[in-house]
Amino acid sequence: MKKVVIAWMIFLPVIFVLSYLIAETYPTFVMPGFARIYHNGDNTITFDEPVISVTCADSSVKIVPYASLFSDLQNMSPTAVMKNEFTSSHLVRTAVDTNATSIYQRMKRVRYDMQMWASNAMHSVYGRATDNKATHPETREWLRKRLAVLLPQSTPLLVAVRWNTSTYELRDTSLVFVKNVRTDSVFIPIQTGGTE
Amino acid sequence: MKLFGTTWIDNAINSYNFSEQRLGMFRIIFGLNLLITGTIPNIFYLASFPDSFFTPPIGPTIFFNGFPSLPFMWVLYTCTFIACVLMVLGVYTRATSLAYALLSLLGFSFMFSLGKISHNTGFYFLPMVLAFSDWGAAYSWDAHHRNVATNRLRSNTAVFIYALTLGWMFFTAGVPKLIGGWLSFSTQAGYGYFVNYHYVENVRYFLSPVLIKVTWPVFWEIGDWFTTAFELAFLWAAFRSTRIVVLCAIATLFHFFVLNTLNIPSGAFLFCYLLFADWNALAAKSSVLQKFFRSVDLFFRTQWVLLLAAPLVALLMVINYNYGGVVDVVLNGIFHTPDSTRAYAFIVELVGFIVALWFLFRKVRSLV
Repeated sequence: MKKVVIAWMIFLPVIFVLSYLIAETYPTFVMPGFARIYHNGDNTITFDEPVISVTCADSSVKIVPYASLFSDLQNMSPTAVMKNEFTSSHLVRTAVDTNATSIYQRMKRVRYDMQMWASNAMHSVYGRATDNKATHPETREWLRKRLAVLLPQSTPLLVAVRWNTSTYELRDTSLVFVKNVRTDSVFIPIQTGGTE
Repeated sequence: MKLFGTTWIDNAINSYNFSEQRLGMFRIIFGLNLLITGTIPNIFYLASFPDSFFTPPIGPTIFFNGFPSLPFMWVLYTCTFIACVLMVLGVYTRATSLAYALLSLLGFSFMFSLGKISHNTGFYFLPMVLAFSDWGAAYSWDAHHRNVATNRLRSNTAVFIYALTLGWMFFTAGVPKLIGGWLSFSTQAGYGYFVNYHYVENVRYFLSPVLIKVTWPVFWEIGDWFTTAFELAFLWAAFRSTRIVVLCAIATLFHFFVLNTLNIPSGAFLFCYLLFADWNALAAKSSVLQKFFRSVDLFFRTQWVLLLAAPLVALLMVINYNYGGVVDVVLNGIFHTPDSTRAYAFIVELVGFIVALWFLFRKVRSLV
């Protein structure tokens, strides 16, 4: 019995390193650290925001709340799926996070490199799309069907997903916009002829 | 203390000397919660997403190239239900616990193949490990109809392995906070998450609208330090059952605070902590619990258990498939709550909060 316990004591740190450096496993034996600091220390808060705008055939541009795209989703944050599916590279968000200088953020840089390696390996072994998923034909078809429900009176031609890292000031328990920095953009033609 | 002479491991294992009655009572409470809350993975909604979304984590679903077909989902869903009901009833408990654990693991793996996993390890890992304990040797069909050999050392080891895993998981949450800046006085990390959830994710239930008005940095900084400290301490606590029960009580207070700020429901996790509650002592003090477990045991003496299993599976499957769970039927259908998952979590966590406070108060009073 003790050998089983000792083996488990060795296994847990190994899986932690693997989860940290490459990708979380499932089953997982690690809990989220929530280590990212949104609060800047000067009464401002910074976080990522995706904005989805749809250009229609009549030249109008409509903003679609991203959560409405995922009304079928259960037990998962729509933001998490957005980050996975609608970035120019599914690792872009991780790369942005590595700009800071703390030990934790420097370690994230190592993680990012390892993830890039793992992503390429997955692609070569399974032939599975790990990048440019947003413009994949199946994704475009899914978007077309979702927008037909969400914008029934319109004919969508192009969907633009723009990722902003936005900063807001906390003032009297409300947020006042300060600035945003565009970190990524994806353009997805829905119908033939859709252009930016 | 001998490092690999392993006296300390022996001591840790022996501290989890839980009787089969205690484990049997826990098995029923834990399993019933799984069945009535719709915790059994329901993956039918994945059929609405294209395979280009399929991003499996490193695990069983990595060998698939897309989401499963509808017939596969039905087979998985049905088999998981059957295994869970049989586990609760204590029918071939070891086999059915393992079957439930592996099937639900597969279901959850598909569910989290959209690029983000959840950290619900207790839902499948706990029955996977406790399958090797004596949790099927009392308050079960097995106890009355099969000759089940018990093994206290193996049982204690199984419970310790779960406690160690729980302690380790909390520890891994604490380490990034320790080195990631949570202890810096210049930022209030927990408050940053709260603002993000409140304004960006737009979740504003329970005390969230009140607590968002608390802008006093000291309040939130204490929260940051408290969270980091108790998460790191969990690993140390796992080596004694008397310590981990205290940390589970503190974690219960923490979860209630998280529910009222970030609105993240953790009610189901509280049922995993109940493994460390002394059910024998609780039943001795509560006549309601005593009657409940006595009736359950009388029922398990009959063969009605097996006759009941099939309609119970069918009924629960219909309810869970159509409404999410029995709890959702009650809270949505009768009380018209807008979010039954969070409403149920609030009820469970409020009760947990009161019990944990009472327990910690008694613990502190006994020390003074």
